Amino acid sequence: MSDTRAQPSVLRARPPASPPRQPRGYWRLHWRGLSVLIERRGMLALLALALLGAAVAALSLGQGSVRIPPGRVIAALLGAADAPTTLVVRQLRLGRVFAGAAAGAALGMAGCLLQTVARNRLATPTTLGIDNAATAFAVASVVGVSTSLAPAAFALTGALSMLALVFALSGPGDTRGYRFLLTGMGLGAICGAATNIMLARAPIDAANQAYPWTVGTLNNRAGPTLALLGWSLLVLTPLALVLGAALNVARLPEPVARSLGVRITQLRVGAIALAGLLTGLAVAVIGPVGIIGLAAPELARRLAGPRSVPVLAAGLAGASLTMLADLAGRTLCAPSELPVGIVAALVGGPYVLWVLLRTPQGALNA
Amino acid sequence: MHTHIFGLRSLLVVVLLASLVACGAATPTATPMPADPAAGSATTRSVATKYGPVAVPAAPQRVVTLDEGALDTALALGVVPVGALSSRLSTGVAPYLAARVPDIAIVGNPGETNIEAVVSAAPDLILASSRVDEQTYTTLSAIAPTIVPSNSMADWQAATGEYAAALGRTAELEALLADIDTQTMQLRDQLALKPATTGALIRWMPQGPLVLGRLLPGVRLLETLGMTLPSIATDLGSATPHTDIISLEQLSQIDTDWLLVATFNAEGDQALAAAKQQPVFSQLRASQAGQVVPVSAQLWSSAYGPLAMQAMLADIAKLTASPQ
Amino acid sequence: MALERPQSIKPSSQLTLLCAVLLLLSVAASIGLGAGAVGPLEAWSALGGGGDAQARLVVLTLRLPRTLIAVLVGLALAGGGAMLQAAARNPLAEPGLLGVSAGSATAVVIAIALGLGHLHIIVAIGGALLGCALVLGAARLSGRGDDPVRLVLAGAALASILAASSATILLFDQRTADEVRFWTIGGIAGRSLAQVMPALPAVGLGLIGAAVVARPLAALALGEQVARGLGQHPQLIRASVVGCVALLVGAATAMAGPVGFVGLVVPLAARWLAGPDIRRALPVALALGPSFVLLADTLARLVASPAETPLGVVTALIGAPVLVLVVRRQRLPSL
Repeated sequence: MSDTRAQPSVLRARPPASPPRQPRGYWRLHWRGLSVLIERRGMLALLALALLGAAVAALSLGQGSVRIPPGRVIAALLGAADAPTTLVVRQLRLGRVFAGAAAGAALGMAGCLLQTVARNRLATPTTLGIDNAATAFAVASVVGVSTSLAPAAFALTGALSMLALVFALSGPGDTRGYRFLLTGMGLGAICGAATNIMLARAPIDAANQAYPWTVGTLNNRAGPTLALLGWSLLVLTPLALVLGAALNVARLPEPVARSLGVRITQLRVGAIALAGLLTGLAVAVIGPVGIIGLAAPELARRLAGPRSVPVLAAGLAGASLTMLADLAGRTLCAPSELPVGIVAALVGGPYVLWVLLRTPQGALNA
Repeated sequence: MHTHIFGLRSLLVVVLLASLVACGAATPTATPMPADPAAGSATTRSVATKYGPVAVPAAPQRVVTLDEGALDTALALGVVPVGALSSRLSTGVAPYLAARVPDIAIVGNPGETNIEAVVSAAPDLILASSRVDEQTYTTLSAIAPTIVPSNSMADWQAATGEYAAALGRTAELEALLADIDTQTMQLRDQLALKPATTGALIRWMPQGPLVLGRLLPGVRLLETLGMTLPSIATDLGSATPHTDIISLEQLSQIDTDWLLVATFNAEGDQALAAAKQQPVFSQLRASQAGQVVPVSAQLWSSAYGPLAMQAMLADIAKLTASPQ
Repeated sequence: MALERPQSIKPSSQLTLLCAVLLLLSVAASIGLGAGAVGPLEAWSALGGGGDAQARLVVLTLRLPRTLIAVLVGLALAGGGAMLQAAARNPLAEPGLLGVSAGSATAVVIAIALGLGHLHIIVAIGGALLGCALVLGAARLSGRGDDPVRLVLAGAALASILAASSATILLFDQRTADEVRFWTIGGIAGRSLAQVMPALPAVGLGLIGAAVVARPLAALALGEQVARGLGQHPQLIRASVVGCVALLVGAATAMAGPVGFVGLVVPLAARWLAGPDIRRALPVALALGPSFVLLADTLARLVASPAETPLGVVTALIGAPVLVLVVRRQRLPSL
């Protein structure tokens, strides 16, 4: 992962006047008269998360229904192992790890952007009803159309239209992001009801096929949608970083930010559209596991500190957490597999309760 | 500074979790990796499938079935698969087959196939369901030659024919099917139902009944044996397996002479008991004549194949053997 | 507002008339309309002993019990919702949104998986109690009354944990799938009177409790200090509210599965008609609840006739837009 792309702090980009000494908590790199300030803690957080991600990914390649020792994993990666091992490692698990990492990174970054825009730490794909919408659309396609790409395409459509609807309905002047959340929950409940009708009335085979879309799973998720997500991430990640840096300024009180020349409205619309696209693409691959979009930015903020909007750290945290949840689901009660969505809800739900429990009133603003 | 400590602490928790997972995963005994499946079979045959011709080993040794009809067909033809999907609403294969495959590996449920489990079963032939999409087909083909039939349960004789061809036992299957036809005709003569006898196959859900349609071989068997289906069943056509749950007020639509109630397990009898509590249910003709018959749903509402047909014939023979 | 009994506690005669007419109309609709061939006129004559045997059978053994169950469910959910909202001083504190119904249903699912399905009334009430305690604990009922969303989010988190638990149980115990599906959606189609009878005492007890607690609860609405000054014990009041709500919601869930949004829409309408005082809002909510559930259930029968639509789906489709509308108002209505 590109952990070298640390964000130089926008606010402090202007070099200090006379003695070139870095502010506390920053590193100063200089090279031929150019000098960049790098926030120390943010950088360390990125490194730690990247290491964690790499470790979980390595573990994931070896663990599963069949346990493969590290030596054989490496041999299989290099193409030097026997055919079944190579198949398991290179086709199944590598695809699975990549799907988990990509979807988790997208959800993490989307969650970070959404929470910053909504100014509420609990704005996530789950609480905004995006998960429910994606599920409803995907189930509709499985029950109705049923070809291999359609559910993913439908899930993407559902996620995007839900986000647009929630923002349109919650209207302007929403300072603490609460109306936004509740509108999302209400619309999400409608989608949930629709999913229930479809599952209750669908023939049992179709209901079975729709099952992965109702829980969220990484089993057998490689395919054109994953490729689309991968390529999109290459384009959207830098965009998210730029927006994140800009949003950092927009976190100041609105008049101050405006006076600094920030076009807040455009910025918010851009961030929401980007978050919607990232969420939609991720949900189209992995299904409703939006709780990652809550946990990852939270972890990233804890690690990286309050100085910036930790978009990249949230992405890395999302990737690690998703892979970790999937790994736990595959190994903890082997040979049965718990889908990643169930693990995420079982761990993430109590986490939300914990955040609510210990956060003093009014401190939920992102 | 305070938040910094929090950050470190939460990272620690995550790392701890990761190592826990690693330790938890290390304890169960490692499954030995299967041998190379390509070894052993020297010659191959070509079989036509939904996704084009597939080269299969002349005498497949390790077959994994990802379809209930495929499992049934393989067993009927004397091939014992090494892996199969669990049957609907159970954790093992359908009860009517369970005794024949005590050691079979379960590689998934009807909703999801666990591909890694398929790999560790080390198949040299995979008999998949006609519903398998192209992406999954590609993945499965990387493991072993995979047969996805063009026909489904709607034409179960043709679908089993495709599986039999993959196993190289077409002639045996044809003999079996002919035999089943004879048995069916015999049973029909033996039953000698009156011309206007009606019958229906239903499931009783907690919210009410649903009626099964002609897509299911069992329902077509009832017709062959001389029962007339209610219009709510025939209206389904041959593509939809069952109706929605119908209102109890509509129970007159299944007021038939014979009522076969498919239940999934012993607890399904509870569902039947709940049905019998409803006064409208006890008004039904079948109810008053004592011709409400519980049958296994794994057999009657989702299985197909030669063994399934034989088991269903045996069910009917049994219920008519007892005095009406 | 003073606490000595003002004349305003008695609902106005227009309001009483409105509630009565609504209830009569919805009962009439529930008995007269259905998926079967029995029309309204025939149904009413069957009720009086006329009509043919088939019509009498349908009306007396299907529609009448179903109407009765709907009335009970409506009473329980509307009462539970009104009490919970008054105690939490939060217009969004609804048994469904707060995960209380889900807690109850999940407890039943666990009981079924363990082979204890016959205990389901007790288990459902226990689950509701746990759900109540957990979510109110998470949101720390006291002092957090002006942060309505916190409670709802805690409920949503709880509901998602519970849904995942049900899914996990299903993964290991497929035998109960049909039952589990029922307990995750909710409906009163196919329920017989015999099945719901055990819930009756719980509803009665819960309603009596609600009647007793309403007055101290109204005092609590004036603020903790005032309530103390009036000789009330806030903690005791809250604990008894939680007990009543658990009884009512647990019983409703045992009868009909988790049916959401009734406890949101009905008390909202009641407060709109009768004002925020729980002593006036509670009776109105109790009068409107049955009508709402009856109408929703009649719709559930007719929408996809002859198939049944689950009641929980219909109430969600009606209630969720109401939630969005409430939220869209400039200020969240406070209690």
